[in-house]
Amino acid sequence: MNPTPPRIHSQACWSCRGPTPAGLFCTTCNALLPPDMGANRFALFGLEPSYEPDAAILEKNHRALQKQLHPDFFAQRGPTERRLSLEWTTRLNEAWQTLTDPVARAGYLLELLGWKSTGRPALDPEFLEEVMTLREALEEVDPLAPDALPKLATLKTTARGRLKVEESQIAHWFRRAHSHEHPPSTDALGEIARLVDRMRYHRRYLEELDRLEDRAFDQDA
Amino acid sequence: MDVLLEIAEPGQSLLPHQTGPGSRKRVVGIDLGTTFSLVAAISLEGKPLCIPDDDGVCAVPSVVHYGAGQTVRVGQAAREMALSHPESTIASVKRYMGRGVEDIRARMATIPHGLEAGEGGMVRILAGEANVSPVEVSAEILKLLKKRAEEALGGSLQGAVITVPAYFDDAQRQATKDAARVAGLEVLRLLNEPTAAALAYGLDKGSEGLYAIYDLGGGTFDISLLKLEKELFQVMATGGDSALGGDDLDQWIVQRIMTETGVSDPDPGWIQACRKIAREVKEELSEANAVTFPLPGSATGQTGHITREAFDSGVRDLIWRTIPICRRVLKDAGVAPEALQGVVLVGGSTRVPLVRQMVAEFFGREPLVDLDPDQVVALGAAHQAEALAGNAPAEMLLLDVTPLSLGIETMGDLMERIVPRNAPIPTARAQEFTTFKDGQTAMAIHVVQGERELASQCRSLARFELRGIPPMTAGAARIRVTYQVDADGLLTVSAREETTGVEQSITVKPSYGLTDDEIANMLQEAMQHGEADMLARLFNEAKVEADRVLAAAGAALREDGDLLNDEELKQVKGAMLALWETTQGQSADAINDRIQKMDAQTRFFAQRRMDRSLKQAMTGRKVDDFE
Repeated sequence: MNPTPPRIHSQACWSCRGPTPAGLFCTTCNALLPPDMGANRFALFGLEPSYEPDAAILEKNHRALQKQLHPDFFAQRGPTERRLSLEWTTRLNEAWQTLTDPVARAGYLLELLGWKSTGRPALDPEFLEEVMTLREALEEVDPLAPDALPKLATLKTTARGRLKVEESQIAHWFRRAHSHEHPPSTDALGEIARLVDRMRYHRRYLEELDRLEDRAFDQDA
Repeated sequence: MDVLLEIAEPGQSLLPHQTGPGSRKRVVGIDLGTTFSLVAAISLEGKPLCIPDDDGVCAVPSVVHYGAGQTVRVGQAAREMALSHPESTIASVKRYMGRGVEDIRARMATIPHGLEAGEGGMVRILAGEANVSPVEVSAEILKLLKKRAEEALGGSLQGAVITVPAYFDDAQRQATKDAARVAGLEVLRLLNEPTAAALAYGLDKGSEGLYAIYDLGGGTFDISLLKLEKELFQVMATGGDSALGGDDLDQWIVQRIMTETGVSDPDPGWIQACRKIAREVKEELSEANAVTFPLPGSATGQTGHITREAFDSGVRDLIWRTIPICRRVLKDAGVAPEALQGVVLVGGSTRVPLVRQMVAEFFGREPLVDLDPDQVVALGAAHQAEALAGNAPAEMLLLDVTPLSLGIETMGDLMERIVPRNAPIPTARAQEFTTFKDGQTAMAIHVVQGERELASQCRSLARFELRGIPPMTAGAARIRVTYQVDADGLLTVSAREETTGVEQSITVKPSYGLTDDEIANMLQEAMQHGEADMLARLFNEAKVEADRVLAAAGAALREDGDLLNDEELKQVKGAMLALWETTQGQSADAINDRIQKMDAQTRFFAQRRMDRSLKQAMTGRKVDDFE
């Protein structure tokens, strides 16, 4: 069965002006109806907010919705439906990207739970030390040296490993928060936010490794 | 007996589009290439076919000649003028699209005609007596393809899918769309070339799995990684170089001939002649190990000689430039070369053996070449046009991505990414910015595209100023800048001050685009030839809207017609009939007037339908309450 994502219910159908029961399309005149811009991104795919959403359902529903809503299927329709299709699929893609990315997903869940970021990540000494070690390792790599590629590969494996650990820690905290606390404690959310910051750092670090790797590869010709 | 029917050649007819109203729309796919352009349509039998000229040749050389007295020659006729009139003949205009003068001078070594900066920043080309923008030159090519297709399909075109290199930036895409407008073509969609190729390939071979499409054309290189499934083509990542192609390989041969003959300051005629020879030498070297050829401008029959080995070592660095891009795309998609189902070669330049060899080495497998690399893009575009026009059942879902990151310049010339590359489109992203001075009432916004960290090293797409910010202390204003990328990959930028909720209307002035005036002028010129086209389009738009209104009213009557007494029913039906009658006429204005009138005349019916639904909802709730 296809999911029916949230859309605006209170209004009359823009096309036939009649009442509009649930569904993406008007049951009377079959016009595409506007999305509910305020609805959360999980609900779009018929899912409950969770850090570990069912990937198979997500994929299946995303595809089913794109098959109904993509602008390619509205090329012969009037301007209103073309615009609505653009709005729907823009939201679908935005939600899809949030839900399939562990960092964005955590950030979005924190937002839904009312967590207000302080802006700057807190600098705990333990993490600072790790950052220094990672920096030093990076500076030791000369992208033009013959051993650059294997060295970079090792550093990448390490950074990817950290990301995996952080992701599973975040999953753990979210599970705990859901099963024990209603609403989740500020401590739990703060811990998750701290881990998200770390993931962001490790991602940027990986990006830097990527750039060095590109340079090393270009030299390899 | 069947035999009689078979006398009428069962070969694929391209004239299926003549039957009555409501039948198939006349639509085409167009590959607007650097060296060649093609137009394709779907045959009666459902097969995509390129439309040939009277001599059976499909490829139109992308060459335009501007002669005396405003005569314009396009295609083969223009190419024939290139040797005798090089300064007034424009080839490879695709390389100029969406570009500024400096840009082109920096990238191209030998240009046979003058260039100057146009009003909107886009280059203008001085070709003989003509002073034209690349958009107009491309429009001439499109007009020829349009005419050819209209003759083959037996009537005016109702839409076209035009392909662009996946790696084209926003300015280049916009310029392509503008060219279509000037040519009087309705663009159903701008489609990325590798995606079009994958569409043709996948539908033809019934392939499933991960495929890399390596597309090296005359002037552009694209690599896209696609997931092909039944009813779904999803682009995972894309990359490229919009200024690298077969032209550059020719250029290497030209340079070599220049060195060997000691020609240091060649005239335009010599350059054109030399280019022609270079192209032939390159093509021959795909088969032969060495080529001997007549030197340009030599009356004494002097010859030059190039071996495959020398050519290979000379162009190796150029071709190598594609390999790190392939690697990057695999990395972006998180895919190892072994995970691929196949590598498909597209574009004439993939005939060069060294290209095939380097691609095979990098991907660790022999590339697939079982479709004509010159035609496959146009064929894929024709498929997509057919689906968008509603001629074929819309089964295939095509999900594409942004090729390059879109961002904004922030303090210190930094590029702040707003939409990352390889984001699925359509997409919208917003970012908040603030003022840095007390009482600041305006903010300059510079839209850039590219992967470099400094904004000045990225492509500048647009600059505009957000004005009318209420004076506040520094950092108090919250300016939300939104980037929207549509299904054509085209960007719209808007900005809004959030604390006051005042939305500022802004006009985005493209850095290398055409000004509205320039477009208006071109359209006016085109109108002289294509006024009928324009009116037909306006009428069509109005008719689509009228059809929707009528269908909606019909549906409402079936559902809630019992709410009306005979007199009222007559009134609604009368309004519908009056609207329907205007759709049988010619005037878009008459239709739009009638739509408004009908809306007013049937408002009471809509109100009654809403009242009933509300009543039902309340009754429903009461029942629930009792249970």
